[in-house]
Amino acid sequence: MSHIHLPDGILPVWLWVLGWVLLAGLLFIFKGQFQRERFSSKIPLLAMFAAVMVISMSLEIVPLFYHINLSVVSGIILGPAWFILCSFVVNLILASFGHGGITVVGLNSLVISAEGVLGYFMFKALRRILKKISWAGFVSTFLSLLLSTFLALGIVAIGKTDLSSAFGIGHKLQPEKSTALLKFETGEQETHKQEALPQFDFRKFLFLVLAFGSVGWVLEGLITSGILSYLNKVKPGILERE
Amino acid sequence: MDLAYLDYLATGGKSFLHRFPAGLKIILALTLIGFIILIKQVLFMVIILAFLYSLILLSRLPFIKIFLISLYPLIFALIFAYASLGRGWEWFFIILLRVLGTATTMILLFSSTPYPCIFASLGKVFPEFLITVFFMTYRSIFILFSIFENIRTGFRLRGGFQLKHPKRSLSNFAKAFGYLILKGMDDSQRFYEGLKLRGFQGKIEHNRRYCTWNRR
Repeated sequence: MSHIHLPDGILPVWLWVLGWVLLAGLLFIFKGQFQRERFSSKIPLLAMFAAVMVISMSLEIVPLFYHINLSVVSGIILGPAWFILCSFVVNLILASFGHGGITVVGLNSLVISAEGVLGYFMFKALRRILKKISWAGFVSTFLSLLLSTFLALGIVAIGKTDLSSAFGIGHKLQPEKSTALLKFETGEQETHKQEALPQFDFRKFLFLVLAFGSVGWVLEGLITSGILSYLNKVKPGILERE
Repeated sequence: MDLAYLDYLATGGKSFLHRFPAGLKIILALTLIGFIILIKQVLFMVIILAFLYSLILLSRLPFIKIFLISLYPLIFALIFAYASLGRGWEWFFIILLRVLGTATTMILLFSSTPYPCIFASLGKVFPEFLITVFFMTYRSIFILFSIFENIRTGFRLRGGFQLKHPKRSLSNFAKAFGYLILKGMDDSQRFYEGLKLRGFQGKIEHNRRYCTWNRR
């Protein structure tokens, strides 16, 4: 896996709400550009790339149990602003069949947006340094996936860190046994309760993600470099659209 | 592809759940997801799952197929659950059941409500421009998927994905997706020209009446 499809019910409410707010903020920043180009061919192009990403993400490479994202290719051709919108559309559609949670669409979109936007800028920079498109494509994809995975890991780390004790705020609650039938807990109560329990083993999680992820970064890098070389050969100038 | 299958179930079904207004179904699904995220007892998670499964059976949807689709997110949830084993087995099962519950809710919603109806209902919350993007993406997925089926046949004829020949396999795989992207871009340009000819103003009209009780 090159990025983590964060499922529902794992991260605290404040974090996924923050994800939605940040995504809305990002889309708001580019609102002017969207409004200007809303009658151009950008919308059908975005729709096509969103469709290509949905198809690629729903197909497993069977022996490796891995799916590609094509986020870097899409980012390079669509450009940063339209790619952020594209990643939101892709994540919302993927969530409709359980591929990533619905509550964490904001966070998942931010992670995939980071992949595409970083890939776009790195590819543009590396093309000038490295002569071959395939090398520029491989290195930019590998690095953007590596960084976006660390962004996803950072999100999980923040979600699993007891912020109140880390910053010395709030008060400790004694763990108590509830006799109620239904237990609803606020984020604060949940945080305090976690103090009485062994914490989420982040090192174990990090090891698993990096072990699986590293295979994914190389694989996606190779496929993306192949696609970029093919596109440049068949339709020269396509990579300079943005 | 799961998306095409869910779309087929949503448009072909005639049960009470299929005829239920899309907007209400979205509200109910989100409420249920809220419950699933907040509840912290295995027993109540099991009760909610039983409720969802009974809805699937009552709606005459294929239970096993839907169950298998809902298992997919568990792959990712297992990593989280494994890392949380220090908090005990109860927590391990709560994580898995939460993910299974939310995935089942979403799949049930999309297998009983056509995508255009969901997008039309979302139009009350999201800007119209975004709904147009959703409609176009939805349409593009099915167009590209039919192209991809042909490409896949070609890919298999060239040997498919073989671990014995990784370089050749990856090269063929990249070319297949490269061709899909080029074809998609050409189609999107043709689609745009068609829209312009018909007076596209950045908005696609949809029939809301289709998404209510009396749609059939």
